[in-house]
Amino acid sequence: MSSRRSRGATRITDDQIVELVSKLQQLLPELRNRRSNKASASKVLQETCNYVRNLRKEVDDLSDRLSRLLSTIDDDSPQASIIRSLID
Amino acid sequence: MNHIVPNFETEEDYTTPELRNKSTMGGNDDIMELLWHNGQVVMHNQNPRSNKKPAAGVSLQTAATGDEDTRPSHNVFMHEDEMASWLQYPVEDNPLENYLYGNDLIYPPPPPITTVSPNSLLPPPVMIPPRPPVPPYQRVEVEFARPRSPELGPSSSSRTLQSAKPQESRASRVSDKPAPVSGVGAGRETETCDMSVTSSPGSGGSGASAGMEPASEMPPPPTDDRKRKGVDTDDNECHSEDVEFEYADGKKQSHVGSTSTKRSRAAEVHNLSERRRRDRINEKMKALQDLIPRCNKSDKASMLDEAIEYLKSLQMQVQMMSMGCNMVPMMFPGVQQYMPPMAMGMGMGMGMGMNGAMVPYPAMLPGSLPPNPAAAAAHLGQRFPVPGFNMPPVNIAGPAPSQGASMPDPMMNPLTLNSQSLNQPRALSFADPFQHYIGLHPTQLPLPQSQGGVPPVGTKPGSCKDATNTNHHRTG
Repeated sequence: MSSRRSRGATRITDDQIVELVSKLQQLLPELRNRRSNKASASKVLQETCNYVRNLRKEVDDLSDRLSRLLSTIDDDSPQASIIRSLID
Repeated sequence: MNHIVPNFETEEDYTTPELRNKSTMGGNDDIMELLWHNGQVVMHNQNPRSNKKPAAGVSLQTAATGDEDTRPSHNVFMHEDEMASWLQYPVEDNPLENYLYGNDLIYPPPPPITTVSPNSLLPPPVMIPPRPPVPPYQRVEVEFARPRSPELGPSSSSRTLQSAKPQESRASRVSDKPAPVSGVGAGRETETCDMSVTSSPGSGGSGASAGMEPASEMPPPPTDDRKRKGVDTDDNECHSEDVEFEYADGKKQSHVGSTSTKRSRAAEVHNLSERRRRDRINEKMKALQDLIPRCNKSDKASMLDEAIEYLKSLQMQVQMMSMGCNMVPMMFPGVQQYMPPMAMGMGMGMGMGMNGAMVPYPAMLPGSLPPNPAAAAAHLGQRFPVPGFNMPPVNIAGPAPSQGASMPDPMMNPLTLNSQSLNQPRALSFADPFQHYIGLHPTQLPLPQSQGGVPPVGTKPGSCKDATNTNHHRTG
C-alpha cells in the first residue's frame, strides 16, 4: 500500500477488518458451516447484505401477520398486548 | 446481482451518451466507430460495405440498443475478473481503443482512416462478445491480430494511435493475453489500455498521450469515490492509479517486448486486479452501510461492528416475532402443553419491553444466565427492566393459583389463558428464573406432570431454552 490515509487518530488495521468479517461470517447461516477462511470478504459482505434484507423482509411479514392476528382477538386480552409489543 | 458498480455506471453513463452521439455523427465515414457503452463496445458504426462481418456488427448494433441497458450490468460484473488479463491487452490500435473509449469521447475524430474495412472486422467480433464475458474477448484479440497482418491501418476510431508496426507488436502482445477488450470499468480499463498502448515504442508517444487522457477521466472519479468512502484499507487505489500511469508510460516507452515490460505489465495487472477487488469490497461495504439503519460511521471497522450488532438484533427480532406468531393462535385452552414454555419465553420477551431489535430474555436464559437463580435474576434485572416479573412471584407465593388469574400483569395474562393457575407459576418461575419456580413447583403447579411442557420447564427453562438455544449458539 503506497498511501495510507488514516482518518483521525485510529488507523484501522487489516486484521481488525478480517476479524470483523469472520465474526460476521459466523452469523450468516450459509457461510457458517464452512470453514471460516473459505469465504472472501466480498462474499461475506454480499451474503450479509442479502441476509439483512431477508431478515427485514421477514420482520415485515411477521409484523403483518401479527397485526392480522391482533385484529382477530380482543384488544383487552393479554395476547393482544403481547402482540402489540412484538410489533414495532 | 444487479448491484451495479456505481463507479462504472456513472462513468459509463457519462461516457455513453457522448459516444453514441459522436459515433452517430461521425461514424458514417470510413471511420469505424464503436459505440462505447458501459465500458464495452455495443455499437459498431461502420460502413457496411467495408465489413467482412458487417452482419455481426450490425446485428450487434441492433441488439446492442436493445440490450445495452441490461448487458452492461452483466458485463460490468463479468468483466471485473477479466480486467486483469484484459489490462495487458495493448490498446495500441484504434480498434482496441475504439472498444475502450468509444470514438470521440476522448480524442477528436481521427483523421480519415481509409483502412477501415479490414479493421471493421475487429469491431464486429468484438462487439458481439460483450455479452458473453470471456469468449468474446479472446476473439477480439484474434481479430486484432488478423487485420494487423494484412494491413495495419488501425481501425479508425478516435484514437489515432498508430498504425502498422506498433500494431504488429501490439497485436502479438494482445493475442498473448486473452483479455476482454470492452473494458468493463471504463476508468480502469482505460488506464490499462493506455499503459499497454504505450508499450510499443512507436506508439509510445501517442499511446501515452492517448492513454493519459482517457485515464485521466477515470482516475479522478474512482479516486474521489474512494476518498469519500473514507476507508483506509483501500487507500492505495487512487495513488496507485497515478503511479501506474507514470510507471506504465515510463516503462512501456522504453521496451517493446522485453522482460521488464512483461514484468511491469504483470505488476500493473496485479495492481489493477487488486484494485478491482478492493473496489468490489468497497461497494459491498457501502451497500451494507445503506442497509443498516442509523449508521453514520465512516470507517470500516465500526461499520462492520454495527452491522454485526444489527444482524444479531434482527435475528433475535425475527425469532421473537415468529414465536409470538406461533404462540398467539395457541393461546387457547387446550393447547396447554405447548403454550407454557412458549408463553414464558414470550412473556419474558414482553417483559423485556421488546421493541424490535433487542435481546430478548429467552436468549439470555439458555446459557448466558448463571446457574445460580439469584444471580440469573440479578443478571436479568440488570439488563432489562422487568418490574412486572417481580410481581408474580409475590402473588404466586400466595395461596392458590387462582389468584394468579387476577393478576393484573399483562405479561402474566397470556400465561393464565391456558390454565391460569398453571401458567402463572410457570411464568413466574421463568421470569425469576429458578427461584420461585422451584419454590412454587411442588405446591403451585397441580398439573405440571400432566403437561408436557411443565416438567422440562420446571427443571430448567427447557423448551424455551431449546427454542432459544440455537440462537444462543449463534450469538454465543
